[in-house]
Amino acid sequence: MIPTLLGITVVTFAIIRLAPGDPVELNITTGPTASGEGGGSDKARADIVRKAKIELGLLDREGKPIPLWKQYGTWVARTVTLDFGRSFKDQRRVVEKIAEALPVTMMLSLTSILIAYLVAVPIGVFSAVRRNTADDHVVSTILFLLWSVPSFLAGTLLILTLGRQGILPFVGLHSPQSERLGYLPYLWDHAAHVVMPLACLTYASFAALSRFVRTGMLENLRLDYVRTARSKGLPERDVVLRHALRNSLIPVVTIMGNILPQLIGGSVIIESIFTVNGMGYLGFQSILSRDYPVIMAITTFAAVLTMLGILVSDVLYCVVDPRISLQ
Amino acid sequence: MSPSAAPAGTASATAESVKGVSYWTIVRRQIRKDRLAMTGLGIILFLALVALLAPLLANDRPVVMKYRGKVLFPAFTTYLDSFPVPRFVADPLRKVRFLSDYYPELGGRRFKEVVADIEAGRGSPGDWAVMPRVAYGFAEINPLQIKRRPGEDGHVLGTDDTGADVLSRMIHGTIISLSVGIVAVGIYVVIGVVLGSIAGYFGGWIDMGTMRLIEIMICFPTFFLIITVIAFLPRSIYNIMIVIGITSWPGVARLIRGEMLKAKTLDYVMASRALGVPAVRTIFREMLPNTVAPVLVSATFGVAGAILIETSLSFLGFGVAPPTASWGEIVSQGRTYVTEGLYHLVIWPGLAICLTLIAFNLAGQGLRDAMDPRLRDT
Repeated sequence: MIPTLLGITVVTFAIIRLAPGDPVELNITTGPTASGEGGGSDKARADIVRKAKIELGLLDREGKPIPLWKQYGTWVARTVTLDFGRSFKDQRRVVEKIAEALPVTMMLSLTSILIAYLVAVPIGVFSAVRRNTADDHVVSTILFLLWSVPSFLAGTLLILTLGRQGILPFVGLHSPQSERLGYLPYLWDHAAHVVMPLACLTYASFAALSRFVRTGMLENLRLDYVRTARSKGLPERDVVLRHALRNSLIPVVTIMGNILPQLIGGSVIIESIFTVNGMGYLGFQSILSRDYPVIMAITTFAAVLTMLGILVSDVLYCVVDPRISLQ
Repeated sequence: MSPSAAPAGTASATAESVKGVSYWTIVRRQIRKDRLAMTGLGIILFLALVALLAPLLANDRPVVMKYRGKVLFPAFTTYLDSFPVPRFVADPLRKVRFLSDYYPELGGRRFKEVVADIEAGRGSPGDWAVMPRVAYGFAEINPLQIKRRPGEDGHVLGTDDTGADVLSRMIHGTIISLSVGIVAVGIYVVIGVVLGSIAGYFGGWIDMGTMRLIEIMICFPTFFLIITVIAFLPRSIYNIMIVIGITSWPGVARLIRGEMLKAKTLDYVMASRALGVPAVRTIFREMLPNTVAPVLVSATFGVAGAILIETSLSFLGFGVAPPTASWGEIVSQGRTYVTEGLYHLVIWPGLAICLTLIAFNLAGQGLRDAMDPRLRDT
């Protein structure tokens, strides 16, 4: 885990530092700080650049360049204490921005995973029990078609239809001034805003997940213990739900670790389409404005979260299957 | 029961194994039987044809024309603009008369004006011109025909916010999507296969190091990583291909590593090593052909994934530089002008994207089922 963490920071650092273009120069010539202070003379500008670089740890106090490995060391040391510096854009602390955005994305992602499992597991069981019947084929076809629709397309179509007709709101997760509403109307307002982004985040995972459940169920339904359960006269319902399903859920738990990075990656698109102020939209905006400290922080955060997600699914694996033990 | 009464499936299977049918022949036969997979392959073939013929299907220049006694082929020069041809190849090619954009005969007039003259009978006698079916260039902007609905002013699928014909841009967009999909997957399959087979074959610290690297790469949300890198690079189709290629290899590497670990213990590998065949030859000439099958399946799905990434990048504005046509970019205009309800900018390119993804996913599923011995002859 520690080597993986270190690797994550190395990759993040490398991407940003090895990217073409000097972040500070670019920001001071084109960024929001360009206006205001000393936009006039070249010397004044160079001075600002130098100051900013010293602040960022690119130059030492005398203005001499610091070697890359030392820069990395300082950055990691600061990262460990969650100090990602200040945003180029509005000079706010990066941690504050992330602290605002992270809960939004986590709420969406976790709800999405929950819905995905709640919908896909029954579908998978249904297709397995009715394998190779018309029902199975219809369900698989629909899910397959859904899987082949890109989320940005689904989002745009939803906005053009439901959003434009005024049936559902499509900007942000709250109406402006929704804080003035009472508790229930506030919740209702929030729910209405969440429907479309959540749907777009979720529908694509139905296909893979339910297929996974279906395969697992089919493998288990063939096994001897299922025959035993049937032959001792258990109702089919109990055989399927209490015996086969529980055993076929074991691998299903583990792909949660794979879903998480996809959701975080996908949130860039969904949050940008629906203007949701989460990690994805924050990342999108900071990439557009080349807000390096924020980009680095988000990349690190997302990677660490994914790592934790994989860890959690490994642990869950042991919880649901006592035969496997954590070494 | 006599052996002759055995089910047809087993009988033919024995017959095949007696005749010694190769693995790939079996896979090919299985796929032929799979109607969905064949549909997918058919769609892929159709898309490939559209891409290859794009400059001749949709162009503002005639495919072939006779002008003042000379036969010209003006549409072919578009190949150098529409296809991802590197500059160092394209620039010398532009000097070739057939592909050049140099037509002094026209006297500075556009081809469309000349063709209009010919059709109105104002050209010199004996002149004729064959225009493409869609007589609009992919980059032919027209400020007077912005956001036309389908069918208006002769635009079958309408126009976008620059007045460019949507159908023409869709046809040329096929080139971008298919080439990004195939090249990006090609890059990451090569990286994944090389790293994975070396790790699996040699084991030890090489394996450890590769697996660590894979663990690290898997933690990064690929799409976010890709747009971060893409945003720092100049907008170009090569950068998109390369970035997708170098961020998506861990899956293939893991797959090949597992297969290599299995194959390593088999007799033929032992024999190869005992004969003193160099390791590199053993890996890539002996073992790889036996382990590459699952990679083929994941590569087919991978093309769909890479096309999805390309269209999403274009949708977010990180795609190929304008005026190059891309499906995702057309869809994004539908989002930009929500209130105007420009459904045609979303539905048609959207359908093209879905069709392509469905085709590659169907082909991938068919290939996977055909290679799975458990599903054979059922």
